[in-house]
Amino acid sequence: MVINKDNIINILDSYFCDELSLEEQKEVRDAISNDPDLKEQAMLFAKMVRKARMRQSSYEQSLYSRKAFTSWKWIVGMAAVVLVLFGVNIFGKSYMSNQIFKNCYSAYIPNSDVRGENPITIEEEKLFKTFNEIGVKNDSEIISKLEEYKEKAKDDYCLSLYDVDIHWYLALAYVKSHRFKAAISECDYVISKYPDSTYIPIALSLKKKIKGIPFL
Amino acid sequence: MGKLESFITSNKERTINYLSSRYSALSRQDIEDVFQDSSIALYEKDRDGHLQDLKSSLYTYFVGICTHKAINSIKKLKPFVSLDFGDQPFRDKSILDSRIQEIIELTEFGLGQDDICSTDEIVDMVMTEISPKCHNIFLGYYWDNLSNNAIASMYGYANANVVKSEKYRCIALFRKKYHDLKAKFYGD
Repeated sequence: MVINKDNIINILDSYFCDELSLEEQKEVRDAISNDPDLKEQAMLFAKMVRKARMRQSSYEQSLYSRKAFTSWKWIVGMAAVVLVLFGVNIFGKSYMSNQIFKNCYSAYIPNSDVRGENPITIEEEKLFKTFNEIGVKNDSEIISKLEEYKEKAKDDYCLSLYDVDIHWYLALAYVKSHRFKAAISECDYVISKYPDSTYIPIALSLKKKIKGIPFL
Repeated sequence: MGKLESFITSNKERTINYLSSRYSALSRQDIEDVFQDSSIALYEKDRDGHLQDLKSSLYTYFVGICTHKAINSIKKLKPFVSLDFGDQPFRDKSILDSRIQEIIELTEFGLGQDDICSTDEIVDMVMTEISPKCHNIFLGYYWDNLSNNAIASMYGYANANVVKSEKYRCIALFRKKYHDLKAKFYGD
């Protein structure tokens, strides 16, 4: 490729548009590097094109500046909405869980049918106490105790007699601490495993109330 | 007048000229309608924030809208007219800033910082003083990526060759002004 002062502009136009092969690009760079006149011509031309583009680019950017402000407003607006929704979600959930808990919870009264004439063990007494401490003591402490009982009931005959009660009160404890999915899971367990239980109507009602909570 | 409105107004004449020469099947009134509809479309794009991520220049984008609307108008008004309009208004490949930068860095190699700064200052000064004719050609070719044919239609040049020689004349003028100013400020 012949490169001289008469065709350098044309060739640089192609160079700027990436229309030259790698070999041709190298030829252009070599020619510019080795010829001071070509070098000066190329420099001025490249700077001229860069300047023309920069001027127009900043002009066009100024056309959208209003939009940039609008976008900024949008971001702030959206952040505010998210915060409000987040707040509503947190406080709303807290309020709803307390309401549902109050509606569904009743203190545990030992059922004599369960043990017949046999005396209640210390372990059973502790369990009943735990049921009646929901909403009074720390939620996570109660939940960890009930989860422990749930595991023990799988192997311990005495505790297994209270399996349905443990799951039901655990569901209520989950509601109290806003863990609604876990609460539903415990309700489902009670409903499917103990279809004749006295807890069924209230368990169904609890599930319905949880599902009616907005943003859940 | 808003900035976008001012942009549309300042580009109205060349756009109408271009559309009239390219889409002769449309009357002057049809072309005016196409321009009006395209302007509204551009406002809507701006309102929806679509203009901030353009891959092309704003004018290139606007001409694209106009072209699309003009073709739709022809299809609607004159369904039996051929839709082969010949050359496209845009060149196949656009200018890459990275390529320009390559050449600048290559040519600045070995120059002192003072020389580089003085060159840049003079280039800036010359560019602010170039004639509107040269400005339009530089803008159309190096920013809007328009073909010489499209520039000819927009600014009333006889054909693409005239645009090409006018561009070279403008570049030569630029170099002359550059050297004049350099001699004036720095001697040489």
